Amino acid sequence: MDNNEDATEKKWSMKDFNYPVPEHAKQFGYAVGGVTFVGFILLIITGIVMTFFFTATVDKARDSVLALSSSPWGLWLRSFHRWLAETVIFLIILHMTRIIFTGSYRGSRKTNWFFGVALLVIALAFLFTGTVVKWDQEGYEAYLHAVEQVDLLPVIGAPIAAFLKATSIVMTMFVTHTLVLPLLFLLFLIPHLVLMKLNGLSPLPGKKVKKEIKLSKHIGKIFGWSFVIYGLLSFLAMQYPAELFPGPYTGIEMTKPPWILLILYQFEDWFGIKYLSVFPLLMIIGLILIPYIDSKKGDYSITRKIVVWTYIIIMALFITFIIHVAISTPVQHLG
Amino acid sequence: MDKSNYKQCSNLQRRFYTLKNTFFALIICLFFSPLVIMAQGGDEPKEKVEKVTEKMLEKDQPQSDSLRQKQDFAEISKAVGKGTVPTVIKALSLAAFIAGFAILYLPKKKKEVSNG
Repeated sequence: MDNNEDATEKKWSMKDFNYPVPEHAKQFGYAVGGVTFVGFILLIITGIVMTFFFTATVDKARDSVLALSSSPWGLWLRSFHRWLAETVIFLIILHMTRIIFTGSYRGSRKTNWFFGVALLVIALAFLFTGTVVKWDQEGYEAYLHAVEQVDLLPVIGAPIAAFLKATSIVMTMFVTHTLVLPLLFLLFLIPHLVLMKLNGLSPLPGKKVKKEIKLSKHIGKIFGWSFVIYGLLSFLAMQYPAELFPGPYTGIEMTKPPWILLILYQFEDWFGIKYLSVFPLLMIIGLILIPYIDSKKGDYSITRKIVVWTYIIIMALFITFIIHVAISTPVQHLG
Repeated sequence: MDKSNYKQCSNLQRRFYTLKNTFFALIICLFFSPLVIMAQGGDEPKEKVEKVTEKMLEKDQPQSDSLRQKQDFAEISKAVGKGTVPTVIKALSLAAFIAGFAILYLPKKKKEVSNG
């Protein structure tokens, strides 16, 4: 019997997929990526259900969301989807923080880091389009900010802005939110997961893997944490429903963006709307450069310290901005 | 990181892990801080903004649909939030929350090795 026949006659069982992984896979820091993935699946499920109740036109969008919110399950569904979206962004940042702290972007993991950065950008685009699509005052203000930014882009800005102004904006955002972005997300998520499997779980800094556990135990931890986080979130969604603002009305600015975009709000306060897109662009460039800045081997090299401390300082500043903007009164930026 | 391994680490590694854990804890606390602000009446600025909006609406848009809409949602969410179904949803959510902790922390029964 040759090898080929051997392969065809092999009977696969679930045990073959339960391969060993390093023991530290049990830690929350190493399960947070999986918890984020579960959150994304929940977002897809809740999003698909909401699609059946949504009317993607400028005059009916807000009313359809209001109608959905008129039943307890509808109110919970919408609030859960909204809080889930913001939590997934938070979990992505936690996942990124763990990767930076453990230097898991070096060597063969560099490509996967770039896929991760792309996924973060797409997740933020999801948050933005999801905010606009309900077409209340919050969505309208977010849309105006985006159009202003796009208009300022050299060469491509004017035609994109013209396209946005010419199309039915709610339908454009709805198609982007439910079709374009999910496809893009999958396009980057699949290689992200494949590379993670090929590279294996990143090691703990300064330690060699001694013990191993079964993959099922790692997945068990992911589900455990998912139940804890999303169970609590589900409770909070019913207790504190996501707000639906009035309007939209022109000439007033009364809302603040979702928590992660409060950082941009602070920069808008300081430098004005013209330079709003410069900051996220710098952040993306900074994230892309990290594996090039810290490429040396060794867990406690000087470049590692520079990257980790720079990250801590920037994150501390962002947290300060978020708190400051969250407790301050909204101001007029447009017009 | 396991406590047993913690003792074997160098001071630098210990500092690194303490820093990492503190940072994670800080981020988690800050994420939930808006709830504390809300509970302590931190939504006052929102009230002010609504008043500004009311004034602008009365001035510019006599139909004042938006104000009614605003009340609509506030009233609807308040009315919908009471009743049996929301209580059931909250109970199921808390059950999932507790089940998660059970999955994470309840000791697993070790498989007994049979000697044939």
